[in-house]
Amino acid sequence: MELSNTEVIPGKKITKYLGLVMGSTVRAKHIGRDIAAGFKSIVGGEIKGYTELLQEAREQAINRMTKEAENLGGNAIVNVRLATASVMQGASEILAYGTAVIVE
Amino acid sequence: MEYVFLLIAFSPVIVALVTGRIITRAHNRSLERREAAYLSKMFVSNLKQPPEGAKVLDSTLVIGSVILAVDKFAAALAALKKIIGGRIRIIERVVKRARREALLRAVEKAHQFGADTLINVRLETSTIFRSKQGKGSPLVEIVAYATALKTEQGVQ
Repeated sequence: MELSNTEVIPGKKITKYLGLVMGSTVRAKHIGRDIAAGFKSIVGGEIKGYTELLQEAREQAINRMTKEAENLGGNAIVNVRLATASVMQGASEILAYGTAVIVE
Repeated sequence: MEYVFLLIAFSPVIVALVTGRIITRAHNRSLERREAAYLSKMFVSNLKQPPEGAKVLDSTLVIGSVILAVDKFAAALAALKKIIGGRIRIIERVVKRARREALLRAVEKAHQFGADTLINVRLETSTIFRSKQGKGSPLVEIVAYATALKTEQGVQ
C-alpha cells in the first residue's frame, strides 16, 4: 500500500478513485507513564512515553485506514490527513483519513 | 520555619531553573548536529507536487512527532507574564524547539527511506491528554508529516 499526503502518488498514474477511507483509535494514557510524565513536567524535556503512545496509536489508525482501502480493492491512498482530538479527559483520538485509489 | 515551607513549595521551580536549562541546551546541540547531517541534504517544501523537472522513482508518507513538557520554571514565568500580556518568549522557544524536532524526525525517516525531497509538509499542533480546565503543566505536541520522494537526480 502506497501512502501520500499529496493529491497524487508522485510518479504514478491513478487509474481509479475509490473514495474516502478512514481509521481511528482512542487511546488513554496509563498510570506508569503518568508518573514519568509528572516528573518530566517539572524538569522539562521530551515525554518519550507519550510520544511513543501517540506513535503507536497513529500507526494503528493508519493500519485501519489501509485495511479499509484494501477491502475496497485499492492499492494506494492519496491526500492522507492526520488529526488528533481530545475526546475525554486523559484520552485522545487519532484519526487518519484519505482517498483510496488504484494506481498503475 | 515559614521559609522552609516556602522552599519546599517552590522547590520544583528551583530545580526546573537548573534542569530546564541543561535539557534545553542539550536538545539544541543535538538538533543542530542532526540538522547539519540530514536537513542540509534534503529539499524540504510544502509544494503540492514534486518540483518541476524532478523524475520521481518512489514515494512514501513520513511522520514525525514529539511531545515536550514545559518545565516548571518556564511555566511559572509564563504564568507571571500572562498577567501583563504580550510575548511569552520562554514558551515560544519551547514550541519552536518542538517543531524543529518533529520536522527533523520526519526528515530522518525520509533519509532512511533513501529520499532526497520532502513535499507537502504539514505541521500540526495537537492537544492530547489535556483536561478541559487546562490544568496541569503545559505540554507541547507537534506532528509533522510529508510525502518523501526518491528522485532520479535529486533537487538542487
